[in-house]
Order: sequence, then structure tokens, then C-alpha cells
Amino acid sequence: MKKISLTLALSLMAAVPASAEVLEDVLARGTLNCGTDNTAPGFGYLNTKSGKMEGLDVDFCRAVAAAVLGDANKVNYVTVTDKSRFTAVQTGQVDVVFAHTTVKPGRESAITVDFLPIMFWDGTGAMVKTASGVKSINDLEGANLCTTQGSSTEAAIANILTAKGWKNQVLTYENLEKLYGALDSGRCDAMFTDKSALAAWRGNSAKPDDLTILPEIIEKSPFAGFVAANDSRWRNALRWITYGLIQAEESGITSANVEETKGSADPAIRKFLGVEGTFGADFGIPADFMAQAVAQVGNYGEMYDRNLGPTTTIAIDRKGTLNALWTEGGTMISPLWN
Amino acid sequence: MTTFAKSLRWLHVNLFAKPFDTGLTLIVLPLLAWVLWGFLDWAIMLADWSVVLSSIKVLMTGLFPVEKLWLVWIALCLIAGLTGLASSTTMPFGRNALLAALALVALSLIAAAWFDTISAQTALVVASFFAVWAAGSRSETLRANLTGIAFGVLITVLLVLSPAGPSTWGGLLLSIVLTLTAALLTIPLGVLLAFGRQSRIASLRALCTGYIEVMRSVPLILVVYCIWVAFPLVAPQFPLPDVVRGLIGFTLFYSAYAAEFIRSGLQSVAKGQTEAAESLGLSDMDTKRIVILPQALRVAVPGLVGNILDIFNYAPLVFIIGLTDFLRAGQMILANPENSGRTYEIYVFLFLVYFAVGSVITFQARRLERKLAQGARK
Repeated sequence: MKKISLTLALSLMAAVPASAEVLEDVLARGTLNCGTDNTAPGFGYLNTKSGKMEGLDVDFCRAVAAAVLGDANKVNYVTVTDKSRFTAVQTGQVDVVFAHTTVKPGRESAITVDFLPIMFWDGTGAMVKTASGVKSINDLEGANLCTTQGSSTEAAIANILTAKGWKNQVLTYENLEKLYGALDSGRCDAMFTDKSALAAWRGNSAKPDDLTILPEIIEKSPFAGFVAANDSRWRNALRWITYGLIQAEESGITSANVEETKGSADPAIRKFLGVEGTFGADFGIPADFMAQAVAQVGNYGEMYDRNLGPTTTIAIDRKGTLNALWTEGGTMISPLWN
Repeated sequence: MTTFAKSLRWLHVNLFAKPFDTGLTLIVLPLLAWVLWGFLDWAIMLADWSVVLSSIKVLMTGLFPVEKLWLVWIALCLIAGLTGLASSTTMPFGRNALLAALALVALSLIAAAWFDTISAQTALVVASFFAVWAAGSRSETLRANLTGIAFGVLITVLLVLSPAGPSTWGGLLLSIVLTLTAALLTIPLGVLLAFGRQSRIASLRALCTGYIEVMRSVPLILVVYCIWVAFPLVAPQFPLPDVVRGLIGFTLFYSAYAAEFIRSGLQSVAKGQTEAAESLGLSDMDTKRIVILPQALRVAVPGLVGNILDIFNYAPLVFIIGLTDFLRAGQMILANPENSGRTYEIYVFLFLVYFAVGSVITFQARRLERKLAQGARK
């Protein structure tokens, strides 16, 4: 008897989180509560001129709102910090978080959130002077390698040197400013730090073309959105919206041509855009969810270019990096939509 | 000539009285001049202040919807009026005040001519400050009911701002709303806790003492974060906005400090006062309300004002629960790649505004203390 009641109590406890249907809440509410950072250049920040939030993370919030609710503007941005982001999603204060969060096993096992597909690869990289002719980390034998003191990058550089059997000199500096100064003065041949930071220093230098960021990533740091655990319907819908944005780029569907593409004869494209088939209905969201997301926000490539592309001040190279499509040697890939 | 002689004398007394003073002056003055010169050179020649102008709306109100900004102006008028009324209790509207008022009006007119868009509203805020200041100086009734009016204004301000949704409150507006709410609510809570700590009922005494000691031995940021986390877990059917949970956290934390200031005030009231009141046949409640508390508050005021300054200065800690206060709004603007080179301009502006608001609070506190000290001497 005791055992039965215990089992009953446990199953009741387990049933509580599972019964929380975020998708129903979002559809009933008519707005998406999306957790973002508001102090992350390129990912989530305020455009002071327009008074609107911008960035790659913000664009993912907008794409989800466009897909689920049919309107990219129906987003209520809730600012989350490194400390509050997991709690915010677990207590239901936000439906999803896109806040340049690194995917780590402990975050799914111990903290228990469910990550969406990876939307951006950041990581440690190297920058050299263009005049040096160095095109890859493999060309750096014998060069002076520099980084900041006490960073994990120091260990990563040591690992590379051991792996390749090189005996380079490694210099460390107090902060990024001094590190950059050393590269500028020629004391260092290559500076190592986070790629986004490298891109920012390069973008703010007098002549960005004089500096080259090498394509390799030494220590990878994949970013993904996440939702509360144990809500498969919501998680799966968002997972496939993320995949869909990547698939749209691969299929050449852009915000400009999505309407005419609906008339395509290709059955895979017609199903993807919701002209036929039941993708949307099966997820419990509108049939044209991918068409809406792409029309209002753009495919993954458009989102990347708008926020991190060559026309922005950050300008993080995409070609030949992990962030390129798999067809171009990167890792951005969607499962088949059929 | 006399002015010249006077200033020479002032210099001699204050700066060059002894060889050591002279030496110190000769070191410190050039150093100060050098720092000031460096700063002014940067501020005038190098700095680009347009970033402050272009982002002033975000700095002041965060993401508050632009089409509802008039609500903020109404709230500002109310707060300015309340400040005016508070000023009238410490310094009645005299001739000097009138001169200051005229100077300020002239200044705001010049400012209005400069930045055309916010001219009318700014003038309205300044006008409501002086109007209520003048009215308060004339009317004894208004001054006597300051406490009640303050709570009325607080509730009205919160109601006026609520149509925009508390999640949009930000910038200096949020810092001020937070300070106003916490400052006003901590005093009655503090009074209750202080009396509870001295109560004859042991359980009540233990409860109040425990509460005060716990709150005083943990950091503010922990209390704010715990309240933010705990509320949705304890009462998921009442989704309170982040801002409200932040307000609750600040109020709960600082009421413990207010209670201690008030308790020190209560203990400073001589025992004879209670005995005298009792021998007059006053009830226990009346003794506390009419005789003890007014005398206790007089002693507690400096501490309570310090508390208010603390609340204002620690308001940036609400960033931990995702709120965008004044400091965070500045950082948010700097996160925009277009503004990444304007760090110093933004921080200098933040510094100046914090300094101005803090100075106003301490200035009023000094006036209040002087006024209360006069009362005690009578």
C-alpha cells in the first residue's frame, strides 16, 4: 500500500512539469516572452536610434514569433543575465531564451534545460597582420604567439604547440589593449583570444584590411537557444524552426523570394513552405510557419549577414568557418524535411 | 580693495597658514589644475556628447514605449510636486528661493530653446515643483499632511505608469520609482518591526528580531535574487512582474535597516516620557503614537535618509534579475557597436546624474536635521 501511494505521489510530481504546455500558453497569450541579453554586441543590444532590440539572438526571437504567431513583432523581450537565464526559463517567466548561451552537458543534465540546435559557433581564434602572409594556424611555426594572462587560451596554445611539436615563444599580456598593442608594434606575430573580440578590435582599428583573422577555432563555444526541460511539443517546434531557417538558406529561399517560391513545383519546397502537407498542423502551429519566419525575418544567412556580416562593424567572417553551411564546408545543416 | 584684502586673508588663513600648509597647497593645487585641465580638454575638444543626446530617452526611461512617454511626464510632475512640498517643510519659499526659481526657469528656457522637443514638458515639471513649493510654504494643512500626500503620490505614480507595463520601466525612471517606493514603504514597516522587537509578547519579539538579524546579515543582491526566484515557485498563479518583485526585495531588505534606526530612536527617548504619559492616563497605543514615536523619529531621521541614499545607490543591483536601471541602460547603449567608442562620455554622464541626485538628497537631509535640531532646543 505504502509503495503504491509513493509511486502515485512520484508520478504526480513528474506529471506537473509535463502538463505545462508552453505552446498552448504562447498561442493563448498571443505574444512570445523571449529572454535575451541587452548588452551583447551583435547578439542582443538596443539600437538607440530606432529604439528596437537588434542582434542575432533577437532575430531568432522574432523568427519564432513569426512562425508560431504569424507576426515577428509579437515579442516581449525579457532581459536575462548570465545568472538569471536558466531560472527564468524554468519558472516559466520566459518561453525561450536566446542569449549567446554555450551548449554544455551539465546545463542539460544538472540544470535541466533543453537546448535547441546550435545557431552560432564562437571560440578562440588568432589574428595576424595581413602583410605577414599567414593564412592558417599551420603557418605559424616559430612565430611569437601572444594572449592574455590567466586565460584558458594559454593552455590551448600550449596544447597546439605540443601536438605539432613546435617550440614557439608564447607571450602573455595583462589585457586586450596591451595584447593588441603588441601585435600592432610587431612584438607579436599572432594574438589569440575570442573570435568576436578579435573581430571587434579589427573593426575598430584604423585600417581593418591590414589585419587578418585566421579561420580556425581553437576552443569551440557553440551557442544555442534553450527551453525548459520536459516539454517536447514546444522544444520540437522550436528545434525545427531553427533547422528550417538553415534549410531555407540551403534551398535558396530568402525573404525576397519566399512568395514566388511558394509556386514552386518541387514537392519538398511546397511542403516546407506549408503550401501542402501537415508539418505545421502536426506541430500545432500555423501551416505556413516557415514561410512566415523567412518572409518576416529572413533565412539563417540573411540573419547572420544583418547582425555579424561584412557590412556590420563586428564583421565576423563566415566563409570557411564552422558557421558556414555544410555545403560550403561548415557545420550548419538541417535534417531532411520530408 | 577690501574684497581684495579679504580674499588675501582667506588665502593666508586657509591655504598658506603654516609652512606645511603652503607645501601641501603647492603640491595639491597644481595637481588639481592638471587633472581639471586634462578633463576639460577631453570634455570640450575630444568627447562626442551627441551619443548622450541621441540616447537620452533610453538612459532616462529604458524601453518605455515612445507613444506613452506622456505618462512619464505626468509621473515626473507628480514627483517634482512632492519634492516641492518636502522642500517647503525644510526651507519655506523665501526671497532666495524665489531668485533660485527665476534662475532655474531662465535656465530651463535656454535649455528648451536648445533641445526643442522636450521644452514644454520640462518647463511643466519645473513649474509644478515651484508651484507646490510655494503652495506648501503658505499652507500649514499641506505641510501637516506630507506623509499622507507622499503615499498618495506614490500610488498615483505607480498607477499612471502601469498602462505601459512594468516590464518596460527602465533607466533613471526605474531607479527613481524604486527609491521612492522602497523609501516610503520601509518607514512604516520599520516602525512596526522596531516596536515588535521591543514587544512584551515573546513570540512577536523573537520573530521581529529574527527577521531584522537575518536581513542584516545577508547581502542585498541575495535577497533580491531569492525573492525573484521564490515568488513564481511559491505562487505560480500570481505572475508578478520582475519590477514588482525587485521592489518587494528592496523593501523587505531595507525595512530591517530602517527598523534598527528607529529602534535606536526609541531607545533614546527617556523612560520618564512613557511614565508621564501613562500617569496622564494615555493608553499604551496613544503613548507610543503621540509621545514616543515623534521623538524617536527625530533621532532616527539622519539614519533613515542615509537609508534612502543607499537604496538609490544600490538600485543598479536589480540588473541581476534582468531589469534595466540607469547604470545598466548606459551599458546597454555602449553594447551597440556604433557607440562602442563612447564609453567615457556615457560614464561621465552617469556620474554627473548620480552625483546630482545624491547631492539633492544629502542637501535636503542636512536641512531636515537642522530643522529638527531647532525643535529639540525649544
